[in-house]
Amino acid sequence: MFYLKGAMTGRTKFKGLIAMISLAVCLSGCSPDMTEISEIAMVMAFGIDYDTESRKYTVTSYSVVPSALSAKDSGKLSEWVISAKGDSILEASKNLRSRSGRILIWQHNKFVLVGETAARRAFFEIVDFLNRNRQIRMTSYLLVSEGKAIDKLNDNVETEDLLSNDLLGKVRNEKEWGKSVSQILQDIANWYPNPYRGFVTGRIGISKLPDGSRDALVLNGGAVIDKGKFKAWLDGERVIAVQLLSDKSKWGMLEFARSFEFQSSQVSLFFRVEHQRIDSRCREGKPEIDIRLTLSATMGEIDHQLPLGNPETIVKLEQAASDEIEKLVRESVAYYQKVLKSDILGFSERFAQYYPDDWEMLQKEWGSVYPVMPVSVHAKVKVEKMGMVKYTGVD
Amino acid sequence: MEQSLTPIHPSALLNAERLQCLFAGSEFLTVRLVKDNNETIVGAVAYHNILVDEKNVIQQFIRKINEDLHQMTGHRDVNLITSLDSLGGGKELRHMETAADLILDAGAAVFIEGLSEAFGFMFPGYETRSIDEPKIEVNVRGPRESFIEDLNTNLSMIIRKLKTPDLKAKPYIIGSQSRTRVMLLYLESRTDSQVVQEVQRRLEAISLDILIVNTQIEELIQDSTYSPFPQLFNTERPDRVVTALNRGKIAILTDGTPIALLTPTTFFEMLHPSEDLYERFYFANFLRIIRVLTLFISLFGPALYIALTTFHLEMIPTPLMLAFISAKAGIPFPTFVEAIIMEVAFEVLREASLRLPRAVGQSVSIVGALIIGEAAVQSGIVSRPMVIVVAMTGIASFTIPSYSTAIAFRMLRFPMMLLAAWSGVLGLSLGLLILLSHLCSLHSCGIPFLEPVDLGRFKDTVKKYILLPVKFRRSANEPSGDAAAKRSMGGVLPEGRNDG
Repeated sequence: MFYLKGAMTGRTKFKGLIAMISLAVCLSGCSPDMTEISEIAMVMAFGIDYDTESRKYTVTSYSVVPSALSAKDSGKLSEWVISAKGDSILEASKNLRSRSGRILIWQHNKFVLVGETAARRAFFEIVDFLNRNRQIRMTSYLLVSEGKAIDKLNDNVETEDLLSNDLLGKVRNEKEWGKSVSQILQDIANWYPNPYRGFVTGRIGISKLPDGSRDALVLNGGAVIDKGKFKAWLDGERVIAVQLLSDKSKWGMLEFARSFEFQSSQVSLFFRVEHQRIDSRCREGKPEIDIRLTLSATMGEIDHQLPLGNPETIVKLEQAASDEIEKLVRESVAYYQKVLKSDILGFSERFAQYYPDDWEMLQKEWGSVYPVMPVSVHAKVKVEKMGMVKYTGVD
Repeated sequence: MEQSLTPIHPSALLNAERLQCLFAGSEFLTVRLVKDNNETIVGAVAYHNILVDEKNVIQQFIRKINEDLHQMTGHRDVNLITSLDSLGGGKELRHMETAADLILDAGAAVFIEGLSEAFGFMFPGYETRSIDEPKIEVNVRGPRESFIEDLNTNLSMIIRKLKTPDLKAKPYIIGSQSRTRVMLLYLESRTDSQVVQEVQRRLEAISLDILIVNTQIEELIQDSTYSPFPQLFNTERPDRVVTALNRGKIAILTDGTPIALLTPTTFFEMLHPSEDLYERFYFANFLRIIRVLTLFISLFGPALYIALTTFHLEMIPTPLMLAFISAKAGIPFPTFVEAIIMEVAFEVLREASLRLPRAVGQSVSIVGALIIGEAAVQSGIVSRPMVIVVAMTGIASFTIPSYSTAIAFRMLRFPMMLLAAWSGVLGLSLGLLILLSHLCSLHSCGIPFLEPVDLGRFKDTVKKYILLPVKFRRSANEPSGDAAAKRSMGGVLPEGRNDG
């Protein structure tokens, strides 16, 4: 005790000893905040379902526990799925403890799967619960499940990897094909209180393997959430435009493929976005959106020989590719405007920020203005690489 | 030293008898009388028959004096003095006590009839260890000599590397019984005179019966008695002492201790081995950064593991957490107990391998590590990550070049573990806070121990910590205060002396 300067008498020594011993009360086993790592079950994903008849929530946790209780076969982990019902999500998640002999640790949770019914009926409560809870990280992904969430969690993964790792890999792969989009809780929490805009998050479903032997979890398409509840499914083709027109974190690394007809050949290119710009304008109270995209493309495959050595062919190919992208974006945006009638790209936020005076007027009739708002799309594609194969270009 | 000194009597016989009285009860004193042709006593030679090389004394000294006496004519006193002068290296003694000191220091005292002063000659006849390779501060490129127990040999090793009259040496004798020689060394132009005075004052205030190891001096002249950190640097390398002297430090050498003390020293100097100066500066700097890292590992390694795995599970990356969970399955002890078991086992092993005879020591450490590590994991008493953490911590603590500092950190690891088990990272921050405030309060002979750390001047701190290439390094060695002023006036060496 270097800080105790000066001589210590027998009495102060004794007092010091007592103080030291009393400190031991705070040690291992006595402190309420302590969680021994050998007593926990790590929740890696959990699902929330809602039953409209009984008006009860079901919370299903997918957790990881060590598979053996002796050190000899340590190193193995096993998956463990339990579920419990309750009148609220909090109650259901507390009721989970009746099934669990271990301390459930939620900090490492990566996915929240919301059942279709739950997303339709109680999306607000779910997001509210997730935001309020201290143990759930805002970087978890929220996915809407086709059918019930509990079925997805009970499903075996093809690769025999942990379900959460498998899903995490699938989310990571989204930027390689673009037909699925998952959102983290943080973004959802930012968007969902806004009554004027909607958003798209991931859609998880089950698809049978071609031979019909096993089910596999798939992330494909998206789920449209509007005005605080689930509105519609979006298929993969329509999701690409969502990625293209979101912020750079989505399109920056995106790589997607399109095939189209060119000079009576079927041409497949894969694209990367170089530059994206969305301008909003308000002329005499009439809102307009102008979308400009610059993309680079690489030749993927052709089913006939083309005179690719000829610069004119390249120019024509680039024109055709630009038309294709413009068509894709224009049709998708029209779909969001006219069919979904949901501002999933957040155009309303642009007007609120850049034209606050006009927005005062606009917001009252946004529901009727949005579907008919003119959106112009300009795409410029530059074909940079033809791939490894070189044709002479002679017809 | 306070008692009055007895002057030397003109009668050589009386002086010899007095000495015999002083040494009565031991058989160690030999007195030989020198007589001239007329058998009258002209002088006496007294020496310690254990310490002195007797053969040498008799053959080369007494015989020569006798021969000279017989050959020469004239006044016998003058003859004797001339004879002694021709031997060279004589010391004039004026008091009986100094004569006794000289005899106990392996010398021979010569009394001359009719003179009230004596002459002392050194004839060390005891064995000393020869200069050896450094055992504690091993290095790759630097010189391979280390201090031995003999003060004169140690001094010669330093002076051979510092051939300047600027090197000042002040001798002390400490210990009323052991009468141990202690030497204070410094370069006058580089050292702050106030610091020198302060160290001298502290050395003079020491009162000891026996001084065997310079740890006793260290304890008595350090600023803070209750600190776990050494406030004087100790080294067994002469090159290190020379570098330190050149930087304005004071070296204290003690007869009988193969280790020199350096003061004032700072915390960060204890983290730098002399090897740093002998390597390319990139590599030296890389190692300096690594050493700060290992310092933290050796202090906080197990504590941080305890804090993270029992309080802050969310701070561990998920894949690592999965590995921890599977490794910890079936371990009967809480993490803290596990850590204490392993740390204590590690310390026991380290101590055992240090204390056992060298031939056995090696095998103990290997077998012990194998048994404790592998068997403990196999039988499910300790988890694998804990073994890794403890081993890593142990190895990290070996990278601190100063053994005494490393011990301090080894010891402080246990309170840190306690704090971590008490309240996780919060407890660790508390521990770090106490430790830092303690380090900030420390001084080494008046110099703040944490020099050059100054958070207000972060850039300067980094500049002083990082080793520059040699041609830019001069400024870092620049002494401060009045020493610098003295140097700028040209106080180091007269021009031209460097040529020789």
